[in-house]
Amino acid sequence: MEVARRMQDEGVRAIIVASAGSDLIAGVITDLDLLRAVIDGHTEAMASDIMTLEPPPSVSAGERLGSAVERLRDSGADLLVVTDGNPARPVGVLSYGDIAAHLARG
Amino acid sequence: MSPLAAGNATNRPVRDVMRAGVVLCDADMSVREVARAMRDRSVRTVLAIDLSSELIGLIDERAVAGGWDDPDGRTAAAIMDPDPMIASPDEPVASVAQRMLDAGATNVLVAHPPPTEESGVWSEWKERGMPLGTLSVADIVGRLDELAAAVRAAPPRSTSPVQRAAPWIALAGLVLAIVLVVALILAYANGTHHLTNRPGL
Repeated sequence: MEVARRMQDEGVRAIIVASAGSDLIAGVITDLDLLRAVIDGHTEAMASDIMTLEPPPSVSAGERLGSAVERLRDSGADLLVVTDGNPARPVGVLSYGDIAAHLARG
Repeated sequence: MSPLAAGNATNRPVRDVMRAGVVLCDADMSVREVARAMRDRSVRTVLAIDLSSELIGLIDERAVAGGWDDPDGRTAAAIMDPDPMIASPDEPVASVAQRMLDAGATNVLVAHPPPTEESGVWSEWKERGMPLGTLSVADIVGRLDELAAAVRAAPPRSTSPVQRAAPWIALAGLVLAIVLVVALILAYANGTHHLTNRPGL
């Protein structure tokens, strides 16, 4: 449940799980994944046990926000991984909260 | 997990865990104003109401993001969910947690159940009175230390045994955790990355 504590400490609702020693994204853990793990009794589970194995959809850092929002909504995911460079490396995350915060700034 | 904390929390009611109070906005408010209300009040949900046309609905960050293409033209009424999940303050956290999982809901409104059967959402709200607060998955996950036993007691899936991870899985998890910490530190040090939502809830 280190992941749950981290999530709370950082104020985030999803955490990216990276493979050791690389930029490869192994998967994502959302707060709903954590809740499911606890309900199923897996309080001692490791990140690798409860994460969604599929890497989240990604968006290039130079892409328009509009297409990123569309992709986020169409994918049904909670967040997009933002990539940059060639080859593309993950540099950040874009969540619904980030988009709402952006609208508030406008 | 502290055995003490886990042992005495088997039936915590929602009222003990919810975030008390709701932020209200007028249903005519623009999406941008709703986003600002969320930011300024440090909340992830806002309740939109319109007394004259008897509208009421819950707006979360996802709904706000849905109005990104016209944040000054679209209104709260256009993006709100008029039929949000509602929990009674006396409902056990375990039961609500299971309902949220089943529905994929990340936020519920906490309100007294209507005293009488009424048709129509608005008349139901008139019967209930205003919501007492909200409960999010994050609120539950953030207090898992004390709530894990209560949440695990969810009726439909309570038969699952606690699984002990094999040592090699534990090792793999440890490596993953270390990588995660390093990644986060790098991200913060760099400053250009945005790995978090705003903290401060």
